[in-house]
Amino acid sequence: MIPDLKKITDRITQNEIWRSIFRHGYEDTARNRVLQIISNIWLHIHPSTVKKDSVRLSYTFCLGGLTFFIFLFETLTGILLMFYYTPDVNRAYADMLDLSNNAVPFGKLLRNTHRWAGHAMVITVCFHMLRVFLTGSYKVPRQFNWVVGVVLLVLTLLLSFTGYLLPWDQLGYWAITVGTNMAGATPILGYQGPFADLFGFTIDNDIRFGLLGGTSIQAPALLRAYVWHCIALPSLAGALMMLHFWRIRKDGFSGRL
Amino acid sequence: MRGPQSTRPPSEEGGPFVWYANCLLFVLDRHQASRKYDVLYGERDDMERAESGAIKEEEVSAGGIWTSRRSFFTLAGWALFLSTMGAYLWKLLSTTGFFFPRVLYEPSKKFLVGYPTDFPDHTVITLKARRVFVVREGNTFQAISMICQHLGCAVHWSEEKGIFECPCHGSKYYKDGVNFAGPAPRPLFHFQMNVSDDGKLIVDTSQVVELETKLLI
Amino acid sequence: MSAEVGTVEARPTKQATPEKIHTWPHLVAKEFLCALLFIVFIFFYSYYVDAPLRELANPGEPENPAKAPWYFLGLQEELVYFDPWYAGVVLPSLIILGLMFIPYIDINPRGSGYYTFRERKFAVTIFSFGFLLWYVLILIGVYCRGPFWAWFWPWEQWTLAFPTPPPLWSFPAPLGVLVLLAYFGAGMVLPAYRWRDFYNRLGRVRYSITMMLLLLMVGTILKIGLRLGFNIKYVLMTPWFNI
Repeated sequence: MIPDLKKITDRITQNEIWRSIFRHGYEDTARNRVLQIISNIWLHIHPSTVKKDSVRLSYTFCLGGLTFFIFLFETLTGILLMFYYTPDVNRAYADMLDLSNNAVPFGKLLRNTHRWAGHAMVITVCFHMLRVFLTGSYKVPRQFNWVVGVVLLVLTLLLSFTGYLLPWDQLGYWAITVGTNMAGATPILGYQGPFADLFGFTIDNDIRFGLLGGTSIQAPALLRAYVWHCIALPSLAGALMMLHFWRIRKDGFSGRL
Repeated sequence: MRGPQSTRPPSEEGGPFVWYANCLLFVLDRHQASRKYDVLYGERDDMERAESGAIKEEEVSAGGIWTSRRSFFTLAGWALFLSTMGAYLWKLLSTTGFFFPRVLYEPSKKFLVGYPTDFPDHTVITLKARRVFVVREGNTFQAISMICQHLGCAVHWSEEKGIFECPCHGSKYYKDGVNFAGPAPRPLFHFQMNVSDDGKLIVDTSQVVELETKLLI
Repeated sequence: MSAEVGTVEARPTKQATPEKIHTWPHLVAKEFLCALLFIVFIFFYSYYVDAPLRELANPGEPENPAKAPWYFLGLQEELVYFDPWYAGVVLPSLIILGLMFIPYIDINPRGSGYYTFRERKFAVTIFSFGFLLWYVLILIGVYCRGPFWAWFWPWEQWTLAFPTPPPLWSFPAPLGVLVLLAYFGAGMVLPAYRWRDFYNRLGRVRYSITMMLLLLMVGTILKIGLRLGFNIKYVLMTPWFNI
């Protein structure tokens, strides 16, 4: 006996439970195309129709969307890595070796993709900025959204930078040494910066000390980098992304009128 | 204005099918493109009613919600609120605030480095774990910091050239710690040296001394 | 940043109402495809290229050379020519602030929403130049810097036997003040006279911000030139800070 496919699908979809979850049909009609967007919380980030010129691939190169996607990808791989990583100076490097040697299932792939996707995000975010500049998309009324975008660029760099210390290897250790000593050279606020002595800033109360949680890079610095990298900065970036997208939604996509 | 003109939300009018149909109508109506979203959710209606004066004046207080006839108390309230928030923020971020630990668990700044005879004459001995160089010239000793004055990398003693070099940005220092090339802004730190009761050398990295200071044994 | 601010007249539009398409499936499909391609790319790349992991952190023995992550190598390259407070803090802050100012100082109404060079030559030139400069510095940092941050071409073998660079010298303080005043004074005033129109359209505030940012960018490059060409350490020396 050949099962009637139509009958089976109807059985599944024509009942109260299914209809309570999926509110519209799947037939490709203009109505369903609209409902697909406006009745879906995730897709509702988009308007239901868009200007044709604004979404040409040769106009956007999908750089903003790609950046957001990489952020989600980094969040996912990052959470998985957190299961096997301890932010402790005696454990961190050993955990890295375990990941690299596949002592953790898929450890090497996870670490590699997380690292390279982080680099990719810096690239896409930079070129997204270039794209927005060259198309003049920051002009009235979108000026402030450009400012939000610049802050997001800085947050992307900071996210990358805080992640750099976590393996506790030579590369990260010295990169963070140099980076935080730059903070120590901030005028007035850093102990080696101009005018610091006039305001009483020394190695154990300046801005660098606040970043490292000590006078040199030791256990507190690793823990701080970890918390900034995994919780504080992603939350901040996420909040600003909402603002960024919401303003795009309100101002409309750029592009020829 | 085309499209449904209703004071009630569209969803209450004729059930879900009519609501869906309305969605479709708006979408197909290109001239209303920018309005359809707002109308759908009643935002545009509210805005228009507010602008056209349909909302009665009592609902909007005379001076706005920020200042009113009781403006002194309004301002005082805001001042109190903002200064409280400011005080908490200051407590959080200032140099005695949350991010500045009160106790440090760091290696001692004062340590023994060995007997004077452990250091051959006319040499620069690198003590990596302590991040200092001990320089001996005859019977004089100096303790020079390994930390580059540029950005805190550990400088390297190049024996054959007789200079200290920083691998990070190429700062160079003479054997006495004075910078002569690269971006370093000042000479390497020289630390206080002493002799303990049993004749061992002590370096105290919390005491920075003049470049000419030497320990004479 | 716009030299060609004209009268505010709308550019003749191609059509009165823009052509619209459904987001689903047209835009969503593109985004989905981009995401998929990215996943494929990153998995292939990660399969063949391992993420770097050096030996355990050793506070007594830096890497030689010790390089920051590539996206900060532009800054690290600047650190060779400037004191850290400028190269590491003030310059990046100015770059960030300058970027934020762009929408407010570029009042050219044309060139919004499409690629064009002809309609906004000044803005596109300056921005592209800055963008390129950043990446050139990164490339130098990644490929041309060897042990002790000495210059090696990518095809050269790294050695430790390179000549010690000659000692640096600085301008005496009065000369430094004079040079800086002359540079910034002339840089702010002369263009306003030469390109009167430009000045008038931007107004005093926008013009000052624009020129200040531009002069700082050019000045940074000039200082690099002075260091490389004439071994000059500081242009201006004061008891508190040096530039």
